[in-house]
Amino acid sequence: MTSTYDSGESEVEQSGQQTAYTVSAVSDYLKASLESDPRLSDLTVVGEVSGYRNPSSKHHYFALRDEQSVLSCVMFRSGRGGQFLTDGVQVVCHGRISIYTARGDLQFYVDQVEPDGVGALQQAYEEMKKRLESEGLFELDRKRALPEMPSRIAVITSPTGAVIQDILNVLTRRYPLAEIVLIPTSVQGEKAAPELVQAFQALNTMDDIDVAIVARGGGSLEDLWSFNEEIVARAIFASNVPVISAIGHETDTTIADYVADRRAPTPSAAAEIVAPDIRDLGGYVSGYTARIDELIGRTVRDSRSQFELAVDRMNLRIPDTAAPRQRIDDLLARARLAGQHLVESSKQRLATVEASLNALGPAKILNRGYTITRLADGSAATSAGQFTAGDKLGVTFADGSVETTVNEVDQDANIVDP
Amino acid sequence: MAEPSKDSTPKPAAKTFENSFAELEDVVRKLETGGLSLDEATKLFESGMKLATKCNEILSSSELKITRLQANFAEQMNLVPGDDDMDDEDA
Repeated sequence: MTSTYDSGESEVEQSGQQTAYTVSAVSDYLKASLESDPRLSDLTVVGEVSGYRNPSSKHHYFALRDEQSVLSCVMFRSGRGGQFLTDGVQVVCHGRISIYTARGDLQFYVDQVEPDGVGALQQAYEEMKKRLESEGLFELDRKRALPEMPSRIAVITSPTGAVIQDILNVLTRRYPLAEIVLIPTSVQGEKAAPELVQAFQALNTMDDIDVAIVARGGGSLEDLWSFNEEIVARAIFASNVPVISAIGHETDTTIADYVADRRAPTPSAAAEIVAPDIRDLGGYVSGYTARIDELIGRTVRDSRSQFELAVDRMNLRIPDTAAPRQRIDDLLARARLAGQHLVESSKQRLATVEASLNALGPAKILNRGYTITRLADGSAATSAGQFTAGDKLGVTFADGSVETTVNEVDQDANIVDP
Repeated sequence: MAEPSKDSTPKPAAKTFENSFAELEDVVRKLETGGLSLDEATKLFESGMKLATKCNEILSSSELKITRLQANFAEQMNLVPGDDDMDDEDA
């Protein structure tokens, strides 16, 4: 049978002895032919949905059409993207071409539906992603570490809207030590990609920026598309400073996110990643002061014990002073005692001298030839000057006295040298 | 076009903090290494406490500084002060 058909359609026209095939045989043959064509079994078709039906079976029946042609389609309930099937909507369908033999209908058996545009974008995205990846733009090896305490942080985003405010709010609260340099750009639309590129070029001309954040709020894939553009990816790649990306929501991953040194799930998270929290920094400072306290305490303790050790060592070398001290005390006691004796004996000797002096007495002196000269009133005279010529004068001897009169007074008389 | 304000902007607090913090770390490291005379240790202690005070002052008194690059950066790079409410009010 196959050979007969293989001979070509000219033979079909030859009627008469030509073999007749059953409908089923032809249908089966057509089905097999279509299904063996690799192009028709892995096919993506773009067109407008029409005649959409979704009966209780949950399979989707519809047609794809353009200006000239219509293609009958079915997607079983296992297919993805059924929600995009609405009459009049441009979609991109993937599937295979075959024949529904029961009706002899040529059909496109769809397994996936996407809205047109998104699908095209998606495909371009996947292709470029592969290309940049193979070029090494996403290499983990080239991801740079973020500075620990950035002084100047560039923020590349829209100057208006929630994103910049979120970032500034977080940094005001957590890290008010930095200067924020806002590099304003569009973040969606046709201008966005070239402006982002310019922003990164501007960033590279500034030499005092430590780190950059490129951010955009959430949006549709089309809204975020600028961050999937190759020129933007290359601009991020060429940045002189580490780049943190925060594009859309956590579930959206753009090419920019793959190229960036660090990806943050949201703009606020980027602001938290870019710098430490001053509360933590304050904690480190207190930790250090506590440590210094501890260390200085230890040093003082060490020094004190060293000092005590030194004192101990010195004490070992000093001779014991207790014994000599006692000897001194003894000596002092004895000296005191000796002193008392001395005083006592001196007193006695003095008494003896007095006694012997008394024993001598004036009478004994007179006996030895001395006399006492008295004035007229009877008191003892001690000087020649007490007399003038004619004065009465008494002389007492040991055995009596005589009364006489002064003839002449010569005060200059020298007894020793007459 | 905004007037070019290329005046030498003062160092952001982060820089002074980072320097003092690094010095503080250094003091701790030296004290930890030990082998210091009591006099040296006391001097380190004093400078450490001064640095910690400075760090804490920076942390408690700093305000976020915001500048905005002129949108037309293609022709000239001008840093202009941010909006009033973001700007430091000079007393």
